[in-house]
Amino acid sequence: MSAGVEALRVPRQVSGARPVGKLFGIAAAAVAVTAFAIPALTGSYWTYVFTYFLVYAMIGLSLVLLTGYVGQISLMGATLVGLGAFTSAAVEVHWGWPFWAAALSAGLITLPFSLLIGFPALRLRGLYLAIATLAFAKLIEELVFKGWPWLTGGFSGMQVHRPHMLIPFESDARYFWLVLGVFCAVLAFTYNFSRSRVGRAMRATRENELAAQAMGINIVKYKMLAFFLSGVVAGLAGALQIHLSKAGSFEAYRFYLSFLIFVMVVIGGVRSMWGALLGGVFLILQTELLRGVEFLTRFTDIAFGVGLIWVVLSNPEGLAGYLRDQWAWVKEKPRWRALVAVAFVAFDIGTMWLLVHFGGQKGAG
Amino acid sequence: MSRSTSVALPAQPVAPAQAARSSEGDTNTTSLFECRGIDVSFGGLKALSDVSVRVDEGEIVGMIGPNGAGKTTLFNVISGFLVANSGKVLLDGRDLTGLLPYERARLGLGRTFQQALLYRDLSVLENLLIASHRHTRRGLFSNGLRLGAAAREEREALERARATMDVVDLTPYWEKKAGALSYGTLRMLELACMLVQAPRFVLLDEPASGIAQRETEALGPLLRRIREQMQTTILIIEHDIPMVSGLSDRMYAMDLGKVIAEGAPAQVLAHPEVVASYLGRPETVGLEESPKPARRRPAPRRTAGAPRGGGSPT
Repeated sequence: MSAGVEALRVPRQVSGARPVGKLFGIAAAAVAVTAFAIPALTGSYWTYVFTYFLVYAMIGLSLVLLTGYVGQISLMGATLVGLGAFTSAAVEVHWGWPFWAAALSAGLITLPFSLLIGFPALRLRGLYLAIATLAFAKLIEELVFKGWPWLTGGFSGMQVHRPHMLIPFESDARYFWLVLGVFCAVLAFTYNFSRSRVGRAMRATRENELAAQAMGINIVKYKMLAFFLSGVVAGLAGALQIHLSKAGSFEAYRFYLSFLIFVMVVIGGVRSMWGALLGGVFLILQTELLRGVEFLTRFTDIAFGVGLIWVVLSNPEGLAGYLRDQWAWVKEKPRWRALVAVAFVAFDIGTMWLLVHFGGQKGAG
Repeated sequence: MSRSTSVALPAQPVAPAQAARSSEGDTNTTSLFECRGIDVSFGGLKALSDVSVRVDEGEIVGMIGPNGAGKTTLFNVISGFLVANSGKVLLDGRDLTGLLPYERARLGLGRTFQQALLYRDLSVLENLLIASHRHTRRGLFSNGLRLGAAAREEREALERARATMDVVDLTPYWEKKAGALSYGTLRMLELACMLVQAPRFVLLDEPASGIAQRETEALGPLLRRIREQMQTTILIIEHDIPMVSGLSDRMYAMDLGKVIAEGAPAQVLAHPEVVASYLGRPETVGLEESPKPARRRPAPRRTAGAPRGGGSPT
């Protein structure tokens, strides 16, 4: 056959060369609408909840970078988040650093810890690495969180103020914008690099270390890079979180939270950055929906359990993989597309309505 | 063969310096690749003893021998996955002996694995893009911010992958996961990855194993074309004797960790020791699929005491 004429031509926008301009426009519009719609249409409480969701999605992203991209299982997510949170609080409270410097230091403080766990992790895989990171998390919890009140404020915890950078970010709506901005920047960066040689080298390392090395990929470098990136994102999320709730003690960053984050991301889909978002959606939906009714509160853990079983049994790539497969199916039947889109929007609005009317504490309104 | 010969292989960033092949019979052909006095033992077991192999620029050299002869062990030493007890590995006059596998790959040493090791959960296209790794340079920040240089590099990698898919007829499968391909197509993808990687010197470990006869027949001409157009030099392990002897300029035969014969294919096949060790049992030739004990090195630590096949198939 001559030059594969009958073959499908590979679409231009595959992988690296997406029409970023168009996509960027849509994304920017969506973000702008969200930024104004959430505080305007819902009350202060739901703006707070949505900010909370963004923080958790970012924590989830830190795990996707490590577990999803290079395949290293970590159960120390909460510890890194806590380190970031307390570092940002401590440098503000004790040294009077501005918020941006505190947030930056929260990201950077994780680097030595990533290095410390990253190097032994080069020789460990799977369950063994999970146990090692768990032990490391417990160690930091005992030595640093409990043993260093300067950093964590001991049992009473640390109190901080929302930042004031040029304009005040004191109100929930303003702080929501700040978090949304940081979140979008991190997401865009991740989106870009994961579709480049760096992201591919990470996935190659996860898939097959031998083949990756034979193709000239320095697997040690990319594993360490993933550890560092994951730590920085977690630390940054920590700084955003403690400024969101304006207070925090080490009780909030116990290793139980690491399990929660891990399960959240697995349900969302650990291999894709969208999985972190979907995991965050899942977390918020189930806590806020079930929290509203006294009787249902006890089902929050069960929801996670059921989600986890669903992933393990039938959808290893979580909600992200499930939705992608469904979308591929829908794409082949153009007539369905409009219907699905309408259903999706209806579902969105319905859930929102359910949340606001029955979920959580009643929305301010 | 139905594969299109009119299509030129994609332009590759090959070092132009040594690209020109020295003409046949030239007395001072440069040895592109050489390994000298390689010794490997697992515990008290000698897997390789004093193995020396030399491949000239532009040659296709075959390597035959029964299972357990040490061929794959030698490949592991050359590509750096296994550390030899003694001996040197030289590529283009450069000593590779102390280098890690990925450093050797960067310097232009490619290899394929016996079981077509690729990234099964990734798409065909992504596999090919990964193979471009050594031709791209941009780091995390350049790519994360999608600076101009990084975007250009991405476009070039995509173009290379696209052109290569056309040449080996993989384009219809570009979206498929590598793990979902038939074995023959998977091996084709492996070769396509080699094309993208464009090494100066490539080690092929049984490229014809497990694929259909018709595909095997297509493989020879394809390998020749790779050599002509990519200026790649090839050392190939193969159990398909007719194919490898038809393809090779020279051959080596190994048995029990030693090189027992070297020279023109006909010469090697006629060598009494080769006949005794290998070709004397025609019923086993080409039927041996028994996996050899893993001797690769996932970490720098030496794997010791892996039992050798004992030279005879089980």
